Amino acid sequence: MRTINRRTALSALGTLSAGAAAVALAGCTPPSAATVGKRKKDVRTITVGSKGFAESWIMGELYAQGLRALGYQVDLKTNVGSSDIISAALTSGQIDVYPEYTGVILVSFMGEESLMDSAEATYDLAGKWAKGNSIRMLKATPFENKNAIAVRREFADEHSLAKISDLQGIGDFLYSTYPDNVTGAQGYEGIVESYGLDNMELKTLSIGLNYQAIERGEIQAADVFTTDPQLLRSDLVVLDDDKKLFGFQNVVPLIRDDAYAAMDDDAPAFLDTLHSLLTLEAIQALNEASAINRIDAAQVAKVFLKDNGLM
Amino acid sequence: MTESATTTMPATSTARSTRNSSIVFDNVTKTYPGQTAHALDSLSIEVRSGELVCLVGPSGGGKTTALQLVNRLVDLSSGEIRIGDTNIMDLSPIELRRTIGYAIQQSGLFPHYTVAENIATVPTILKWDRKRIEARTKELLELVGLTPVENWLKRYPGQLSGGQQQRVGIARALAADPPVMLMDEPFGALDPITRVAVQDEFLDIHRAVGKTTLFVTHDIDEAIKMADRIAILKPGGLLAQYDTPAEVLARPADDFVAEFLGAERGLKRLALTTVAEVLAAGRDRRGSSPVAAAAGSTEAGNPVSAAEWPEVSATMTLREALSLVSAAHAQGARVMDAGSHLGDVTLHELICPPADDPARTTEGARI
Amino acid sequence: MSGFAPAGDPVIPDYGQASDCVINNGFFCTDWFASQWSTVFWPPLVDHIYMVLIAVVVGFLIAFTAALIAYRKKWLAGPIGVAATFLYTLPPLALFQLLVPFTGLTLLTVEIALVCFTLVIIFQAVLAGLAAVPDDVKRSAVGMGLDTKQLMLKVELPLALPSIISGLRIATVLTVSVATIAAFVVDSGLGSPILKAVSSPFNTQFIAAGALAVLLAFVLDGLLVLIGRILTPWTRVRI
Repeated sequence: MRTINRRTALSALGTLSAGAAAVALAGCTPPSAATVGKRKKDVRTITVGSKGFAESWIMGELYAQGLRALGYQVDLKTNVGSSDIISAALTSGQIDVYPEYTGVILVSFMGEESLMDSAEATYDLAGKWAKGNSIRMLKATPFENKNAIAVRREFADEHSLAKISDLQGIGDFLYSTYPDNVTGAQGYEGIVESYGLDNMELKTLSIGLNYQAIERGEIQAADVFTTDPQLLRSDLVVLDDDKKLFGFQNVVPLIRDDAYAAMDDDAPAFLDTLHSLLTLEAIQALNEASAINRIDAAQVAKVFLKDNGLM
Repeated sequence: MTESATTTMPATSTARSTRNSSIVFDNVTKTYPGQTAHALDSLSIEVRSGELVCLVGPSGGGKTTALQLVNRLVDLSSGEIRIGDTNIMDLSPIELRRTIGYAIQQSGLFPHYTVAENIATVPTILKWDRKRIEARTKELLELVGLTPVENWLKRYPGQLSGGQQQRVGIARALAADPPVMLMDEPFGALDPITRVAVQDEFLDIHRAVGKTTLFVTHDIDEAIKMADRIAILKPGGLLAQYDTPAEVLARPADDFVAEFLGAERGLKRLALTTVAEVLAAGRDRRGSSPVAAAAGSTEAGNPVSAAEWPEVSATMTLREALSLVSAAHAQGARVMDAGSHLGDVTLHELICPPADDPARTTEGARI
Repeated sequence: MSGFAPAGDPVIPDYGQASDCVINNGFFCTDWFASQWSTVFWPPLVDHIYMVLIAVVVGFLIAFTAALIAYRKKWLAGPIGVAATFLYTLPPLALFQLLVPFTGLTLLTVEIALVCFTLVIIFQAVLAGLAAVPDDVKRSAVGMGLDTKQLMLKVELPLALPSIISGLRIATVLTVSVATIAAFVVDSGLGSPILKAVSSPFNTQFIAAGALAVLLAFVLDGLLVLIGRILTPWTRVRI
C-alpha cells in the first residue's frame, strides 16, 4: 500500500513523531469556554492528522474545515507520517482523528497475511482492531483507493485483457512500479508469484512518472492507484484484481475513544455525511484538482464542502 | 611660574587658571606585576603650574608609565602623585580623568563620531548644556586653526589628514578646560613637515591657555623645541636629569644624557636662540653699528660681500640661520622682518650666541 | 447496520481546466503561480518571515549577551565558542530528533534548532567586532574618563557594529535557508510547499517556493545592509 511505503523523504519525520507522542500536544492550548461557547460539553481542541500524500491531505482538510464550520476549535497536522507513525500519534493523544484505509489496518496494524474477500469483511475486521485499541471507527467511504495494474487500451485490445490473470502467457512486457513497492505480498514480486506472471519484467520509476512512461509506450503496464485522477484522462484500462490480491481500501475516520466522547453528536454525524459523499467519482475529481490542476488541498476541500452544503 | 622666555604667556586665554595646578611626583615607583625591574624608580619631580615638561628617554625608560600613572591608567606601586593640592588617589579614576586633558599618538579620535562629537565627548558626559558645548566646540576649533569651523564640525576623523586629526585630538583634550594636560607622543605619527607645523601651533596654544602639561616624546629635538624643562629618564626608570633645554644641552648630567643628546648637541643649542635675540645682544655689546664690524671682515677678501649675504627672518633659530649662511658660503646674514632690514649678524655671532644668559640656564636645576 | 455510508449523491465541484503548462508539469507555470499565490505561497511566506525573525532576534539576544560576557571574562570565550560551534555543527534534522521528545512537533522545536544555528555566527561576529576596536581609541576613551558602561555603549559597541551587522546578515540568510527544513516538524514556512511538492512532483511549486526563499534571503540581507549603512555613516565617508 502506498501509504506505508512511498514516503521515504519523510521517514525522518516519522521517527520524530513516534518519539513525540507523549508530549506533542504540549504546545496546544485547550480552547476557553468562550471560544466554543455554544458547545454544551467541555470540548478541547480537536487535532486532525493526515499522512504524507495528497489524498490524505485532502481528507484531512475536509475533516478539519468541516469540523471548524461546526464551531469546533481544530488543529490540523498534515504530513504526520506513515501509517505506523500516525496510528501511534493517535493512540498517544498527539492527534485525535485521522483518515485511514481499511486494508492498511489489516495489513499494517493487525499483521493479517491474507486479506478478506469483500470490503464489508475488511471493514468489520478493522472494526475489531479499533475496538481493541480504544478507537472509534466511523463509516467508510464508498470509494476505495488501492493498487491496481493499468495497461494501454491498444495493448488491452491486442491481447484481450480484462483481468490481471489475462496477462499470463502474452509474451514479455514491461511493468513499472515505484522502488519501494517491489518486494512484499502486494508488490511486484507478490504479483508475479500470485498470478504466475514470469513474463512481466520490472522497471522502477518514481511516483508520478509511470503515467508519462505508459503514455509514451516505454512500458506496457503500470502500477496505479484506483483514485489516481490520471485514470480519468489517460486512455488506460484498469485490470480486474481477480485473485483479490490487493484487498479493499475504503477510508474510515479513526477517532480515539476519549476524543470521541468529548465531541458532540454533530461531529461524527458530519463525518458520516462527508464519507457518504466520497464516491470514486468525487475523490477522483478532488484528486484531479489537487494533482492535475495543482490546487492547494485546503482550497480543494473548501470548494467541495461548500458545494455540498457542509460549510 | 617659571620666568623662562617660552612660557611667558600672552594674556589672551579665557581659561587661564590661577589655581595651583602643578603635578608633583613624590618618590614614585612603578613595578609591573611579574617583573622584577622597576618601570619607574623613585621619581620625584614637579611640573609647575602652566609649565610644559617633556619626558624623554629611550624605550624602557618608563616615560609613558610616568604619564599614565597621573591619570591612573596605571596604578602606583609606591609614592604619591599630587595635582595641585589633591592626591590623585583621593579621587575616583573616572572623576580624576575628567579633569585631565589626554591626547595620544594617532589622535585616538573616535572614528564613529564627527569632529564636533569627538570634541564634545567629555563635556557631554559632564552633562554640559547643548549651547555651551556648541560654543566651546567652535571656540576650540578656532583655537586649533580649523577654520571656518562650520567646514569641520560634521566631518569624521576618516576624512581628516593626520595633522588635522591631531589638532582635533588636542581640541578634544582641552574641551572641558582641564587644568592639566597629558600628551603621549601626540605628534609621533606625523610626517616631519606636518609635525613642525603642529608643534608650532601647539606651542602657541600652550602659551595661550597655559595648561600644566606633561608631554612624552622620544624625539629629543621635539623636547628641546617644546619644553620649559626636560626630564630625561634612563632604562630602569631612573631620572637622569631634569632641567631646562639650554642647561641640559650645555651641561649634561652624565655620559648617558650626553650620549642620548647625541653628537650634534652643540648644534641643537643653536635651536634655542633666535636671530632677533642675537641681534639685540650684539647691539648691546657693540653699540648700534654691527654692520660696520661685519663689513670689516668682508673686506678681508671673502667671496660674498655683506650686501649679498643671505636674508634670514628675525624669528628664525640660529640653527636655521646658520644653515642658510653655510649654504650661501657667506660670513653672515642680513636680518629681515616684514621686508625691512633690521641689521646683520656675523657667522661668529651665530656660532657663539650669547646663550649663557644666567636667567635662562640656571633656574631649572633647583626644584 | 452497515459500516459503509450509503453512497450519497455528491455535487462534484468544477475546479476548472488546468492549463497545458500545469498538466504537462512545465518548468514554471505563471498562471498557476498567480492563482495559487494567496493560498499556497503567501501564508507560508509570512510564516517563514516570522520564523526567521524570531530565530534571529532570539539568537541575537542570546549570542550578544554571551559575547559581552565572554568579552569581559576572557576565559569564558573559549568554552562558549566551542559550545556554540557544537550546536552549529549538529545537522538540523538530528537536532529536531533530539528536541521533539521534549518540545513536541511545535514551532518551539523549530525555533530552538534555528536559534542554535545563529548563535555561533552572531557570537563570533560580536566578539570579533569588539576585539577589532583600536587600542588607541579605547585608551583615549578611558583616559578621558569614560566609565566601563560608557566605553561599551559609546565606543566599543558602535565600532563593533559593522562586524555585528555582517554577522547578522550571514545568520539571517542561513536561517532563511535552514527554516525550510522546519516543514518536517510543523506545516509552516516555505519548506511546506516544497515538501508537499516532493511527494507529487510539480516544478512550479518547487521553483516558486525555492525562489521565494532566495528572494526573501536577498531582501532581508538588503534590509540589514541598509540598516547597517544608516547606523554606521562613518564607514562610508572618505576624503
